Amino acid sequence: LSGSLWVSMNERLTDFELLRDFARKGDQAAFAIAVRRHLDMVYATALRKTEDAGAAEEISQNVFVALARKAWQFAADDSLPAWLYRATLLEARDWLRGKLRRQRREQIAVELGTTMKTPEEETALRALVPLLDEALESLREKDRTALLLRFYESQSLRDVGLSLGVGEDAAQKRVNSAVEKLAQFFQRRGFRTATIAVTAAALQHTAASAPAAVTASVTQAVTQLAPASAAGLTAVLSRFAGLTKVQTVALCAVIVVAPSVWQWNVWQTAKSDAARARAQWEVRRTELETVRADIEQLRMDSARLNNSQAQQSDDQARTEEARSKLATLKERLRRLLAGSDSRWPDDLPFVRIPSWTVTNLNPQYATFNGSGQLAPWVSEILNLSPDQTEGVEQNLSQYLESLNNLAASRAYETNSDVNFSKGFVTKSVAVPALGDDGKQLKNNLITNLQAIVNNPDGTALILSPLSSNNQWVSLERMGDELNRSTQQFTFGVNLDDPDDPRFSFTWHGHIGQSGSRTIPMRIPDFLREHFDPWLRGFGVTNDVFKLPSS
Amino acid sequence: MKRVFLITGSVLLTILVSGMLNRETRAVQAADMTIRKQTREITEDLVRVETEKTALREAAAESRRQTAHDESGMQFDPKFVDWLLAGNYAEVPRDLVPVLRAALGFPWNDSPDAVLISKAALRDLTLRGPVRNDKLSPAVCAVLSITPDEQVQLESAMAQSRGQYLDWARSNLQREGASTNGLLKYTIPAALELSVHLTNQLYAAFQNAVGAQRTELLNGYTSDWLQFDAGTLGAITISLRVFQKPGADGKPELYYEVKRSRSAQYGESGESGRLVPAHLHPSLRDLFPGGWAEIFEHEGLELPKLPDRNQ
Repeated sequence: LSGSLWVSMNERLTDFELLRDFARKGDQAAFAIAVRRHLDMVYATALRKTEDAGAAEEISQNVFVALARKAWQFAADDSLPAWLYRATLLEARDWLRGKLRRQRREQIAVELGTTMKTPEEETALRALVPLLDEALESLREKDRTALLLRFYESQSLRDVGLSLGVGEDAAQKRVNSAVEKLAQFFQRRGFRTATIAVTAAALQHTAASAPAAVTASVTQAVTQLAPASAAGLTAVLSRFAGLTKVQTVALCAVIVVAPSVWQWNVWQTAKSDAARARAQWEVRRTELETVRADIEQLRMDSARLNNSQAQQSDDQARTEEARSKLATLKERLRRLLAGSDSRWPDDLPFVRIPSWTVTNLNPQYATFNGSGQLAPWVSEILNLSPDQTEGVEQNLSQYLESLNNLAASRAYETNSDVNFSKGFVTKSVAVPALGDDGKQLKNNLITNLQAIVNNPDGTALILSPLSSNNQWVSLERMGDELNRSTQQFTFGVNLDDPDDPRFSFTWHGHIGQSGSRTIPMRIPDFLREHFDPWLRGFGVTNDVFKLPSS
Repeated sequence: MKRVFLITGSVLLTILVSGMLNRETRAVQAADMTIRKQTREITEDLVRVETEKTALREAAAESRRQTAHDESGMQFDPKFVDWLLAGNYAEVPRDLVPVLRAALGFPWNDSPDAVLISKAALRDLTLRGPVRNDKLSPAVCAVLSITPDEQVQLESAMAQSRGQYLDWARSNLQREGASTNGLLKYTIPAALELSVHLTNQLYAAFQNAVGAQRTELLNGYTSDWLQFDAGTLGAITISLRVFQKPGADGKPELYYEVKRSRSAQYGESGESGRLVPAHLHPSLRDLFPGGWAEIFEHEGLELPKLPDRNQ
């Protein structure tokens, strides 16, 4: 049974599978097969190194004991022969470390050095033996394994190929190549006779089969050993150790990459979530700030409105009180106006005067301005309603415009001598008497005003500037003079200081006026039409005249 | 064993890397939690302030509606309201006169024989011939509502003041006889203390008779009387000079010159011209009621027959 098992297992199971069964299941039979498979090589190596059969047996036993302990560490692509060979060498070296043995080896070396020079092949063969292990160790593991299987375990090329995972031809080539490399090693060390054949012979020469007793003792010794640990952590480790390099790399990659990628993914997800949360926070914060700003504005508006409302309420109350007081005042004034008692009302803003006194009024201030706008006191004195006032002002304005147009149509420039201050350049404009045309304008005005005011004295009061003795340079005061006789006007400009020209205006036989950039002149438009272009010729372009209404 | 070490190393490396990543993740998650918490708080704040905002908006809209409603009831110029509430109706500012007239809304033609005018407007007026021979004109009395009794008091005061001044002027008249300057020259020197006394006395009498308001107006209306008829009650120096110069036909003609000077600061004014027997400057008429004839007689001169002014 043992033999058939050996044969069938030998055909079916690899070294790794045998060791795995031993390590994991405690299969002593599997380990025994592995021992028998490689004992010869181990024994031969140990014997070669120690040249002592007892030591070789002990070393072989130690090596396989060590294998039993470390069986779980083997991987599918590990080479058991290579491991056993190296372990054997190490064990042998330990054994050889003793002083006596070292001396003996030195002596042998001396003898070999001498024999190396001998031409005989036997001598050359013997010379190579001490360096054979060194030579084997110099080879790559696969080459070394091929030689160990072929020469020390006497395996067929087919089995060698199976162990190496290649075909028979490839195994042949590898064995040959390894022998050649071994030969080259020896040749490099000065062994010129170390041909391939000699080297192969040396390998064959150093091969030895373990005696049956040794086989039995070693097998018995190791089969009594239990696997180092067939369960727990060791089992796990043995599984790991049993992985091929590719599997190991893949496992390491999975171990490193998968959790890292998962963790990295979690990290990235967290960062992404945080970024979204921050973006949302920013949006909310902006919204909040916007709303707060709105609220602040609304509060201010509200406060303002409240103040305004309070103010308005206050104003409303004041207005109501004012209405009440106004009603009282109105009643008192109505009594004043209607009553026959004409005592001076010290505590009222108005006084009652008889209508006839209007004829005795002598206005200190003009009744209307150059645009025809009535002075407020005139409306008061004449008891004019707002509509009447507007009507009077329209007629006055039209009259002044018509008079200006009429004067403008008659005005001409003249070169008549003018007695003007030294340094002034002058221009004169004359307007011949407007005569009936001018009188017609004034009569129309009187008629129209009378129709509105319905009071001859009032009309006379309004028109008093037209016949006033005051000789202000304004159209309404020129009217009667323009109708009566030719009027001459002269404008003078003094350009001694071009940046500050001085002006002078004379209404011949009447009044004049002076001016400068800071003191504008006030003359009727029909005269400005003549003097403006003339002044522009001197570079005086603005700030000379005031409009009549200003 | 290498594989075990390698795998163990891988595990350790994984633990290390995962630990670092985990720590980073926890930090990020902690920050995330904080942000989320703050976001929740902000969201709650947002809800609260949105509610507040809505309430404020509604309140503001209501206030605006109320304000618009209130404004529709406002009609008076605030300045006018101030004036009405102040309650001092003795005067109305000029710019409020049209406002007051419009607010009163009188049909101004109610009374055909009288009008109401503001006291401010009365200040813008003068009256023609307000005082004649120390008598107030009917127009002045009518405008200022001067009663007959008041009129008597006012005119007495005017006559008294002017009489006192004339008494002083007569006794202080300075005379120069014929000289190179002319035939004669009279000078009534200014008497400021007397003037102040007489003026104060006059206006005290006015005020006593008609009160401050009408005294102020009378001051304006009687300014010509005070200037010329009353000789400013001594506030100015008045001089009269009579001289001769050849006329157009080469014969000597009489001319006069009246100067009225307050002080060097104010300068002087006056008039001059051919002497017309019927016309003596108003400043001198009361001093010489007989006119030029009295003056010439007083000087012992013969008033030559002079052509009338109209000649």
